[in-house]
Amino acid sequence: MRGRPWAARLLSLLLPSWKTALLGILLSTLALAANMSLLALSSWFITAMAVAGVTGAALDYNTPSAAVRALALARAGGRYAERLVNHDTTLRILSTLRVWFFRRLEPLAPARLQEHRSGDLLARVRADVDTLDDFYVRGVVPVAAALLALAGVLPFLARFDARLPLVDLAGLAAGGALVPLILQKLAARPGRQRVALSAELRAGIVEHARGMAELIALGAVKERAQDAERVSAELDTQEGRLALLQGVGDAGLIAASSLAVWAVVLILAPGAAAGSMPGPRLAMLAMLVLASFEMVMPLSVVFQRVGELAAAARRLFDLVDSAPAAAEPSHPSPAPAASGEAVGISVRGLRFRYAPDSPWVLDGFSLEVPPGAAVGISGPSGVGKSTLVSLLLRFWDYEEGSIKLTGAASAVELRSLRADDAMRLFSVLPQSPFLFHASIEENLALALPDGEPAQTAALRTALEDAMLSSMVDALPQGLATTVGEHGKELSAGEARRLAAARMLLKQAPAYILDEPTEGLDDETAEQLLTSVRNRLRGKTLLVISHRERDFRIVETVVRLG
Amino acid sequence: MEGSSGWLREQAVPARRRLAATVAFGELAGILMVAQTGLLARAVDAVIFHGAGLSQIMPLVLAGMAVIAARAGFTVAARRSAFSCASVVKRELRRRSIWRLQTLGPVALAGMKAGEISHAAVDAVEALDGYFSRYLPQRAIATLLPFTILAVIFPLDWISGLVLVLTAVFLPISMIVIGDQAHERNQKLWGRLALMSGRFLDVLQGLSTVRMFGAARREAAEIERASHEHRLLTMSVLRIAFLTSFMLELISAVSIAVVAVIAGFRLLHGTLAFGSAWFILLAAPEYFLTLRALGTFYHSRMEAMSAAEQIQAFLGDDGSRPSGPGRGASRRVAGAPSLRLREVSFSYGAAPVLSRVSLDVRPGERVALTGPSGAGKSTVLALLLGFAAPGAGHVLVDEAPLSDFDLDAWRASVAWLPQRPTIFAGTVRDNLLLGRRGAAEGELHRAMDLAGIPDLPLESPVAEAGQRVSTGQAQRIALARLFLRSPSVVLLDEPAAHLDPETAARVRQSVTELARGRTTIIVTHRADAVEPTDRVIQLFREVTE
Repeated sequence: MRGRPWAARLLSLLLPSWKTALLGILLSTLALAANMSLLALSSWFITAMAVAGVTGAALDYNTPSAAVRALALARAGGRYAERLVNHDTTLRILSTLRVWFFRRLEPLAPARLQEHRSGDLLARVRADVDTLDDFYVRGVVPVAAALLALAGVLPFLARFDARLPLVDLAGLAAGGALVPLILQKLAARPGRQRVALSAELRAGIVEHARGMAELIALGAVKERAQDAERVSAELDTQEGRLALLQGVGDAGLIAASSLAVWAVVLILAPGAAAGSMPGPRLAMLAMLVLASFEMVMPLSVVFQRVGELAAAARRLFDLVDSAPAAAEPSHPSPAPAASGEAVGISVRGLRFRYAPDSPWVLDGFSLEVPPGAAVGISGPSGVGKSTLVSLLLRFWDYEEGSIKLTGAASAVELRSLRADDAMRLFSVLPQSPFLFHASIEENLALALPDGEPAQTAALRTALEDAMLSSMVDALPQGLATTVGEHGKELSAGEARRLAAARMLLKQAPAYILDEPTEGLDDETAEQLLTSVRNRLRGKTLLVISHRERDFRIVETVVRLG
Repeated sequence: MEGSSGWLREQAVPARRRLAATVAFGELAGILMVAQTGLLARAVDAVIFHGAGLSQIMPLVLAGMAVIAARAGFTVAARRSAFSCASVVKRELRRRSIWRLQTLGPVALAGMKAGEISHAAVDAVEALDGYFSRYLPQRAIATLLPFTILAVIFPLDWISGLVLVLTAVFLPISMIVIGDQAHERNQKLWGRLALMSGRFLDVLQGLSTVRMFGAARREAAEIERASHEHRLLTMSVLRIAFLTSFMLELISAVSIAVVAVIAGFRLLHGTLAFGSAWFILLAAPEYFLTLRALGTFYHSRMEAMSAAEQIQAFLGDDGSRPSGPGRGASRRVAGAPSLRLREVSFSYGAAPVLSRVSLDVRPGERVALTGPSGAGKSTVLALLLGFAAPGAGHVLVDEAPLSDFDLDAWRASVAWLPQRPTIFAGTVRDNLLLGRRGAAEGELHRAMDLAGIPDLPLESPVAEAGQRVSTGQAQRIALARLFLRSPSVVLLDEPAAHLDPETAARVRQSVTELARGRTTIIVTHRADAVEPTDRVIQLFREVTE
């Protein structure tokens, strides 16, 4: 497990919690040591007492019997404290992982995330992160504690007979490492497939639910359900293979510990017969070797899970390692305009395609929007209107040509702005706006700058401008009403208007409206356009549409295609 | 809580014989463990107190090896068998979850989060694994095996036996007391976990929106805050849940200490044989290990109980069998039927959508349904498709109530284009074939021609929510799907909404082709772009009398 990059990277994510992690490892070692000592001392004690009973020799029995009781308490208390500390650490790590993953993923949206279905993405984040969670509590802790305990046991055994630590180590290595390692090799494939299959099952079920209306209408429910059942059965097959390997691992450990104890008895028996090895000592050492196997018990789980862990970690790291589609500039320029001002957009000879082997989406596109002007862009679908928006937001990088942004302060090339700064310049109503499964208020508040408390009055004004206030007022829970997943509890028109309100609420030098009145009836569309115009007076406005009515609020219209 | 433990027992019924086999294997492995311990104790006794050499203990050693081999075999068998217990149950539950989606239907599903659904059908089912593969078999073994060990110990030394029995009595008591408290808290935790799961997916799906509004830092802080809360909540559960295992550890450690001390003094006074005492010392940890394993798996039980409640809630009462709507009803349409809504009212929850709406479409007629957004145009189509039943009034097909019809056959005779069509992950071909399985290559190309996407490669992959293709293209793929069908009724929801005028004109032509001789309703909100229809029906928002 060590030395591989993914393991090293995971360990680095443990760093913020290293204090509790270290404490957990020490407590775990303490619990192991207490148990071994308890059993070994008890064994010595009863044998010594038996010998004393036979020979009539004197024996101080107070000290060992008190020690036995103390060790019993140390064992139970140590184990309890260890489990609490380690689970707490695990959850701390989980939190670190979630946040880290989210922050790393955010710059990749949307360009690098399109190959993944969202059900699958969920599987990656949730299941993979949960799997990685085991890395510490089921991986790092038992391995570290076993090594520490071993460092105490082996020298102790060596004091009595040089062969004992070898026998113990051989047994521990065979039962705790060698057999599990072989099994791990065998489990790697089913382990990988198990993770992949359960992700596939999740994605399939989500899709089945999302497309249910159409599947029913198309009479394809049964077919798709059977597909999902097949994945479920395949998942079972892989889990069965893993279970069999686990059984072999359990059996290997049992056999190794039993054989090691017998070996100790056989090694020490001649000495006992010759009188050089006192009986109590023999009984103690045999028991100590038997008890030492507790330290490797959890290791089989480590090895069994290492395949799954590696698969989850690699997938997670691969995903976040993909470079953002738009590279951040090495010497970023300052933003050309503040949120209260307007910005001019000047596009020259722009060329862009989504992949080197796909056709040009924009090929020599030019556009001139002076600061504070309102310009419309029209053209048939597929001509790259929405792509232009993605380029302005720096979701993707343009290959050739230039986009210059001119503000009161300066004029800069878009490429020299950091993506965050570029995005601050624009407030966008996308063609398919995304609404969060949250309240109307929370969906709106997204548009407010960091740290600004949601002013109900401001939200209400935005709703009014978007022709939504009467609808929201009629709701029993008003602003606190949740909109459903992807805004499904709203009609398409309501969802669009809510997104429009959110767009208006964000203060930016330029506003981009992509098909703003899609799904709206003429009257509502008219009202929405009017309030947009009134509210955004003095700001730069770009209206992308294939409907003539939307161009009522712009001064010039550029026609594409 | 009682409900879900009863439910869990019910689920175990099909796995009953596998469960019995698992317990038998586990018990046999346990008996062999006792035998091996006895052989070892006898060998040590012989060496220490009877001066036995290697040759004298060799028979014991060989017997020990044989026992080890047999024990290993039964251990493997027990584990494999335990897996199959859980597997039978999990697979059946996954199957029921998948079919449950159909029973729930599109209207109910729209109100659920994707994360909640996949959580109930996959993760919660997985959370039952420990209950069936570990807890249930272990519970039986934990009852049998300690008695087996005690049955050997009592004849050797009844005092040690009594110590073990008395200390073990405390175990179930402390487990029940602590377990109940832990369960109560655990339930809260599971609810939150499902919530977090849904929320996390939602945020990831809306990642570009988060970016556009520069809210990444806030969302990250929100995730951190939620994780922190989640941690505190979990720890408050675990502090109590781990008390069970603490009690087990404490009782077993103290019990071993007491047995050792008492045995020591009796050995000193010569009232106990060393072989017996050492055997008891070796067997005592195993005796408690069995019980302790139960404590570890008790956690699986609590996890399973909470998961069971979620699965139960998701599956509802009728989860076992998909009750196809309209069962028993057998009416079918022949040719283009008439469609009629009579005084129909409908509401989503508390929000009224349609109130006493009537409309009448003659056989083979082509009708445009217009009206402001929110007037319930799409709802009319959902009612006609039988996705929802009207709150009041009647939906009539050929003058007969829709509920008299075999719904599957009815839907097979309808071509429906929803407002936001779903494009399934896969290739364009996969998506088209949903329209008609086994459609020939030529038919696929013709359908794509008619839908205005003649150049789209059939093998090109399509991602979720039609992301790779534009919204307009997703709609055209869904439209092409319909051209593969031969319906009697055509229901189109905004067929040209996302199209530019040129494509829209082409699609309109194809739609005219599709609608010929079929009863057709085209929903559109734009009076200026009404499709070529015989008649326009206007639907108003609030119908007030």
